[in-house]
Amino acid sequence: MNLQGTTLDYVAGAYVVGSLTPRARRRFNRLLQKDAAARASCDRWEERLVGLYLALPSVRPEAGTWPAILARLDARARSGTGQRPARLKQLLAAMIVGASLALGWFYYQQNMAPVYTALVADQAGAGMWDFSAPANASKLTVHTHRPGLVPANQAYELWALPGGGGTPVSLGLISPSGDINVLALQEGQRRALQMANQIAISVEPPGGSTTGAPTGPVIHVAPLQRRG
Amino acid sequence: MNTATGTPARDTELDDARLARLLRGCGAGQTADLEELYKSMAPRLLGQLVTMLGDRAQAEDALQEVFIKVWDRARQFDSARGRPVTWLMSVARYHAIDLLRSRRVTVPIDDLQLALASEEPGWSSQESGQTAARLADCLGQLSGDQRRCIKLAYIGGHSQEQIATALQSPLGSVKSWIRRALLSLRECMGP
Repeated sequence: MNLQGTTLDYVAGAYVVGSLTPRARRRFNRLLQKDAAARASCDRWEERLVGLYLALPSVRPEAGTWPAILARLDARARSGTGQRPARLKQLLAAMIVGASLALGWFYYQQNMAPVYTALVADQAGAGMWDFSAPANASKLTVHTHRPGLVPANQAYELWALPGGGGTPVSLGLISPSGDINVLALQEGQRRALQMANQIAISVEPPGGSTTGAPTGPVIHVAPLQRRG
Repeated sequence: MNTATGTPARDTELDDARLARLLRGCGAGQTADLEELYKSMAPRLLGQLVTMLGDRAQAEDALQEVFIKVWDRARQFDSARGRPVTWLMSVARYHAIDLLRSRRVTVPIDDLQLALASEEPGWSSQESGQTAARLADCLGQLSGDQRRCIKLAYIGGHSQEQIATALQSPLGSVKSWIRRALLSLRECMGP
């Protein structure tokens, strides 16, 4: 197939639109393998025609579609199949190291090393929030890893879960904005945090739970680590 | 055919630099960038897939596959060859065509024409940026038959024979309409 100029561009258009005969399509496919001009011509037609799709009405995906995509990526990462999951693991490890270094610098600046720490991650292993508090539990620092984690019209409330199944104690609301927020803890909250072995996040109405206990679904539970 | 329920994405969500940055992030294994890309593009791509496949449930499944492919192939995106939105919609388009061919079925042309009916003749493109506006203008210069054939072939993945049968027109006429439409679009939109 020896095509040039306008003829090449027309055939490329017919290829992109899908109106070539099967035989002509196979020949053009072979041409694409070796001819940069043919590829460039197809690229131009894709650009010309993409507006046909842009004019179509959007359709909001079901709520479960994104979690399903993440779960599939997570499953691939866990099974170790393919090259990308391996890279993903390496990159996640690098991200964790990077985040740890950044946190270390931050706490050094604060001159207050964290003793209590917890990390909440999504299904793909990407961090969503990490929490830390000094030994006296006077405050709890919440590091939000990316924006948009708290939906509008909802509040995410943080709870200290004591070992042995005791009553959860509210530690406050997670700020929907900002990437680092500090919650000042009262005496009861301090004791609860020092006695806890897990933290949890529940979905609450704006302003938080009015009953002193989680009223909405608990969407995350993470172990609370104690250093030293 | 399911009806669309969402609203078109804002132009800012189709910003080339932003989408290209998110694709680079995906290529580097950043799931947060994939999530951001999903928030921006999933409604657009699902609208495209629902129209092409004619089935909401299958389109949702296809959307998962498309984003897995985007994740796997993001490093292949080359901004020198085209816009990110074009690349993303091409991934969705060829996946949908593969599905249609593997099923050996196509969306009934009557359904597809119904889905596209709202686009004619006042094919609005205000929300879709300059590319769509330019194409809308050039499509407006085509005859109704030419415009219909281009849409059925490109969006629906229909062969010229299928279009001829559905429109009850001679195959030669359909071929001629598509050929003239391509030449006209090329002249109108520039090389």
